[in-house]
Amino acid sequence: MRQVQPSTLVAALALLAPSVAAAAEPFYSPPGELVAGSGEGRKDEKVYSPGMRFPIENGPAYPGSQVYGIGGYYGPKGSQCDPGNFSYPWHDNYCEKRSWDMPLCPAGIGHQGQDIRASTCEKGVHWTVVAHDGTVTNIPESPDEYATYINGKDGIRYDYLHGEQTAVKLGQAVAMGAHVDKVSNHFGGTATSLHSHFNLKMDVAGYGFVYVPPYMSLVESYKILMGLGGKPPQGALEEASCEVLLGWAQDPDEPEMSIKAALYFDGLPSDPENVGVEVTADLYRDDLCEPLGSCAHGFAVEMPMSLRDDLDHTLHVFAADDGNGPAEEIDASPASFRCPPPPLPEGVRRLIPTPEVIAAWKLSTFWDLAKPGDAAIAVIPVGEDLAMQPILARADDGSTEVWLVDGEHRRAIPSAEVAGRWGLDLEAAELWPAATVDALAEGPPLRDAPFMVKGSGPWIYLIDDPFCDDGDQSALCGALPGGTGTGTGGQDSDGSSASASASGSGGTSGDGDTSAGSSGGTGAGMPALPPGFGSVDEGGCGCRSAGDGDGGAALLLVPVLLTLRRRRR
Amino acid sequence: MRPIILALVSTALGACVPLGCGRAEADVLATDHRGVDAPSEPGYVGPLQRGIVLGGERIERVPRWPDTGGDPRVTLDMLDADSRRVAERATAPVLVPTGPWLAGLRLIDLGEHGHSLRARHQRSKVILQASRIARHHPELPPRGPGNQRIRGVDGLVTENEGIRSASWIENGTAYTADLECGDAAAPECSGDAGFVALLDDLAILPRPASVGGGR
Repeated sequence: MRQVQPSTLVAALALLAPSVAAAAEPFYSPPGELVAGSGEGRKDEKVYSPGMRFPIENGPAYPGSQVYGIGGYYGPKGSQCDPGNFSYPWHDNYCEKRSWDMPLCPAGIGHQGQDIRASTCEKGVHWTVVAHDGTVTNIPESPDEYATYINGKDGIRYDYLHGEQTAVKLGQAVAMGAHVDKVSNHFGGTATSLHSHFNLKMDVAGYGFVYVPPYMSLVESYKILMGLGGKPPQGALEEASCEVLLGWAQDPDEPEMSIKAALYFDGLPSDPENVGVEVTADLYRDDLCEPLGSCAHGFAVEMPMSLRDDLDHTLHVFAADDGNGPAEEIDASPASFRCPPPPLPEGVRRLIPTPEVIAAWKLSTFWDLAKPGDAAIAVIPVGEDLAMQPILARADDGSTEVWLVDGEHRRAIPSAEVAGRWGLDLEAAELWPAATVDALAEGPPLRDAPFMVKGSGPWIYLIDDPFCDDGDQSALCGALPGGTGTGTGGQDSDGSSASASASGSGGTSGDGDTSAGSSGGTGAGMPALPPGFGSVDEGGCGCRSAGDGDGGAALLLVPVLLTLRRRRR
Repeated sequence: MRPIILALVSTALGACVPLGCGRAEADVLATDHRGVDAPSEPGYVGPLQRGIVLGGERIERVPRWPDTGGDPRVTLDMLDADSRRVAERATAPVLVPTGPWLAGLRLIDLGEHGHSLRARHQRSKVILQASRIARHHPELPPRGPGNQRIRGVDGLVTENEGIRSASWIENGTAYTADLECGDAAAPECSGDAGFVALLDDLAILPRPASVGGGR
């Protein structure tokens, strides 16, 4: 890595920085838009840490690239203290070109966090601060070390790298806003440029621990830190009932634009116990046209099944600013509600063994999970565990029917609407030999929508029809409707075995060869990186999936899947 | 069909049904409007929206302790008093490096989320975290296979600013380990293989008496 020299005082940089508050343009470039030539970013608008505090004590601050910034190893020539490095707009540098495996990056490799410059190019002056209440789990304890980790009560680990004058202790409970360390250039025995490298690391269903993009969390917290924006957004919560959460939101600075509304249940945004939901307030309402001068500003949110539990809940609703300002709580917020549990459908309960299975099926434990109580769950007959993943398959005999392969059965998908409610992409169906499809026993058609239940314990079940093969006279199959081919159906099901169909050629396959390794895996044409930033030669076996295998891989999935299921029994 | 189109069609056909009809039992909020003229009546009729859960949906993992009777290399007596207290109420299996690493071990309770530990040996340090609560982001694509076998399961080893990092799921628990190396010649610091060997050698502390089991 190029040795960089800590700067002399360049306090004037702060004065040179453009005023964000007055700026018409956003202070940040879009997420995933990296510095030109620095790789492919992840276009992800998600705020993975809602309610977090911006990790630098005072603004302005300048997230952006170090390696590709002015004076960086691959950047334009100049000093790291060049005013150009201390100016807006920000640049995302999550997934910036590196050789390290990164599952969430488009290239499968890249930079794991966000580099942030403080307001001036000074060493050991600017405090970083705790982004979320939590516990310190790592601090630098020798000159070799330069990492501080704080595990937030929200389950996210917040990483601060390259700092000095660490102000926290291992195991210490810390509150949001408390000092962590000062922005510096520590990198073990060498120096990097003056910045704080900031990571968010969290346990994600389907992934396990993974670094997630911090960029939009930084954007949202910076708006609050700096009090940016013009006129605050406005809106009103008009109804919070068991039928609908209804209201509107608008930003007077951009009156025609449909903005986001964030609904927080059982706590304010900074409360780790809350659950927040973001929707776009873009529903057309005649009654809004005249008072607001624009019509598409309504929101009408479904009452989540998981909150229909006969308990009191509170609801805070915030309207998002059009770009530069913080969200504002809207009129008549907060509200409270209490809703009875939904009626339990008939069927069997199928255990969902792990969060990874929930992720593979794209099920929502917020929208589609009821909590009817342990006693109600206990009387539901037990069915097969849910398959590790759903597979969509279409026979190669010219048929347009798409089947859901659910373990050892194939199930009809009554309609595209039903597929949509299950998060199934019919166009992604794999093309299987007709004989393979026919060899699977036909199970009940897929239900109209997912319905899950959870009791006081951690186990989650899907309520479903039993798999009853021909001639099965068991009590389960005799007692319940919905055996093979009959189905309980829903409003979209006619009880027949007709399947939804897909257009197009389909034929995509699964993961391909999961055992094939390759060295490096950085791809051709990638330039060498500076020491400490990875290289084309390092980084393990690089066993990433090719992701575009042929039809033979689909065939292999059947025995693999069936074997997995047998092992669980 | 997009909700907005449905709403337009409904409006055009004069099919608007006043909201509030057929309500279930509920406390319905009385509202007022400040700042702008209040719309006269909510006029939207159409499908309801579902948004994205900010920060992801919270899902509990279900940790399991292996029925091996514990690893003879480690006992709770080998830990300092604070760490022992954390281990005794751990809600997920506690993996620890053995041998000389135990002297520099510190367990930290992370409440319902699990625990973290720091272990030091010479100029190397391991931070290992166990998680029993995952966040589910339905819109994220499925993860492909990892790049390493770690402790017999599919795992991922990567590197971050000179800090090697691993993640894997074992016994119903998500783990991550970060390795800081002051001496690149140390066995655990000699590439991914050395790191994985260290992880493969982790021992599981005895199961706390307070932990139940079963579904």
